Amino acid sequence: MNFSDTQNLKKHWETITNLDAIEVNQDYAGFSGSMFYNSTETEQFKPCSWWARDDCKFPVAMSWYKPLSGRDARKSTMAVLLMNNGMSMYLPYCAVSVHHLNDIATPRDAAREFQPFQEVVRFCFVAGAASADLR
Amino acid sequence: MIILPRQARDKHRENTQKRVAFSYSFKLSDVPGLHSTGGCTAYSVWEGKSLGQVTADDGFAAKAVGSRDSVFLTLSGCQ
Repeated sequence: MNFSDTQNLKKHWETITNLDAIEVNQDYAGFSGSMFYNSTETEQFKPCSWWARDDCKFPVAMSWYKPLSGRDARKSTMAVLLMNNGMSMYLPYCAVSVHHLNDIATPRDAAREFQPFQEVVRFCFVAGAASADLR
Repeated sequence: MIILPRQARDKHRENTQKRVAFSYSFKLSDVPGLHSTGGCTAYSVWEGKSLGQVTADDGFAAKAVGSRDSVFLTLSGCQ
């Protein structure tokens, strides 16, 4: 990361200065952590290094763990990171509900059809499924 | 009103099927070294708030994970 790029730095400042994340980074309880789950589906990152010709393939979903010592305020003993390297937002509720919505054209129709799940359906259309898939 | 054309719906269906092929969830027993039968309290690092109890039976399932985003948890009070 180029720290002299103030526009980019500002975008990521909240993440890189997150004290809880730094605490996880700095803590050590005998093992620095590892991956415990990865999807078989992969995503290509290009470029992924300083050399423009390099590229990397990573699993779309990766789950990592790191044991913690319990020295933080909450006495945490484990950190878990679930990463979405994919180009689409992951919306499990949409995956369930929208699967049944193939022939339903509008959020209003969907909401009527799935009245008990109205909030979820609206959320899927507005925040994820429709916008993500229509790109 | 949003009308999804057939092509978009097909793409939508394809992506939906892709999404269910992997998960952003885990059982406590999936995490190596975490020997918890009574559950843990989960804290969201990015949101800065407690997410409450994660039980050994139900585990944790993310409600949504943005593209190139992550869910970052610390677990405490594991029994």
